[in-house]
Amino acid sequence: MHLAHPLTFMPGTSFLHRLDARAKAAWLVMVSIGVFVVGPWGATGAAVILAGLIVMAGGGFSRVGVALRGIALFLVIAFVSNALLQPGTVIARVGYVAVTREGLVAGWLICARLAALVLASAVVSITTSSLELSSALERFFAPARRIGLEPAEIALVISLTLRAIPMLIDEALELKKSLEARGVRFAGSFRARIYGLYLMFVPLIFLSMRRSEELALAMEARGYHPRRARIWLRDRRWAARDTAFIMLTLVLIGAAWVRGW
Amino acid sequence: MFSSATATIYEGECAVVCGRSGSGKTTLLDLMAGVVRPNSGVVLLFGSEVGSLERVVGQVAYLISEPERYFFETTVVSEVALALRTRSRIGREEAESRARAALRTVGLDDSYDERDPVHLSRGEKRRVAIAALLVTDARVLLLDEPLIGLDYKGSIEVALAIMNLVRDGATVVVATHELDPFLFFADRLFAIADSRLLEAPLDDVESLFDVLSAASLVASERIELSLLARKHGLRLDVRASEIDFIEQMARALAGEVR
Repeated sequence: MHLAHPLTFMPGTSFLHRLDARAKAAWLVMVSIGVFVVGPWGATGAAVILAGLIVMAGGGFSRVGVALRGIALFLVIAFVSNALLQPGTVIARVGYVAVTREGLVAGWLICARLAALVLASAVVSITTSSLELSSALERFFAPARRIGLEPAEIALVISLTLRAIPMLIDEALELKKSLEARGVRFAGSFRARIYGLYLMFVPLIFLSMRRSEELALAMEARGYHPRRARIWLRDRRWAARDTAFIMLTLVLIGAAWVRGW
Repeated sequence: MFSSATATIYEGECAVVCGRSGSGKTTLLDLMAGVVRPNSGVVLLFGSEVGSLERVVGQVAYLISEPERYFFETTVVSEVALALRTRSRIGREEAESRARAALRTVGLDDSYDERDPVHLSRGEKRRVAIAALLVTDARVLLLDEPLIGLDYKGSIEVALAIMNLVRDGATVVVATHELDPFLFFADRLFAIADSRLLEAPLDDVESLFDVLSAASLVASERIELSLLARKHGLRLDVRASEIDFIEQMARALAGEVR
């Protein structure tokens, strides 16, 4: 019944799919910082390029739409509040509220930045499998071994946490369905609402604890141990294209920054 | 999921929907309960559109697959009375007495009332879950795979409880891939084939078999057996009760052997 979320990994062979997961992780960090040092034109350009990358990776415009729809309400609120609340040259006035030129620019800037951020993370999540991501994380945390932490364990915790979110959402929806189906009402008096919340959360905590125990048991039963050496099925090497991709991004961000776009 | 699905189920009927895993049985019940909405077309309940589960909850109760996963009260009575406690007009006393009455209906006597549901057998848990639907006074019961994961005894007990509900006048829709336990008391039979809903005639074994084959369901054991028996000139009534069907087979065998 559960359909894959449109922003999770989509197998493919595009240029972005073939990049090293570490390169993509580092790239995501760079872009996330980058969109905050560039101006409104730079951020808008970034959003357009990133949307293009999603399409290029085979995600189609639908996935761009899904990513943006997720934050649409937030974008509207950010734009309107900025447009109305920034002091500056007044362009239009309705009663007590004034729309300022500075406000419009600030609203545009924040929207473009947020859109670029969401699209950049969608680029990575669509083109990188969780297996590759955890292997990248593991290598990324390799220096942590010196202070007594096991990189494989850190990577495992992070990737399990990411995996657990959709699982918990499914579980919560199924629980809500089961309760509603047997006549539990979540609306009505204040007391009924509080009781309804209690009916949702207490079992959800128990269910997730039970799930995590089962998962741990299943992993151990299959002989998985994070401290034992693992062999990766596809061992990615850092290639020239990874360096090129990062350098190109750096150049673009740098140019936009210097030119004040 | 469905290219077309049209059916009318009348009050007081027991309709059984069968199909292979993933064929859309749960989706069909979700549509009927208002959990999901159709992309086109309507689902009507007593002439008005279903809309959402919240809207029809007094009239419809829905047993999701493996409902015992979501048990969390510590006594059987409070588990069954759960829904009533979210109704402000119903006091604790009344809620518990209605819960007890519902438990008797599904054949669980008062020795079960104070037990912890965790320690019941799966068949008993399933009946507790059905009792939890009955306290809402819903006239329409949707049951998703009520026999899944039960042993022989458990599934006979649960099927018997469902049969008693039908006899008492409830409208019941069962989604299942195990047909046999329901053949005795089902009024209508539907099969899902290639995302279409087909109705199968219950009075004619051969066309029943054809519809089930179209749904690529390896027909039930009873139907296979009765078709085989026909080849040997014997007649088995597929709609007999479990015990009668076994007796028929025993007699047929005895006749052959002798």
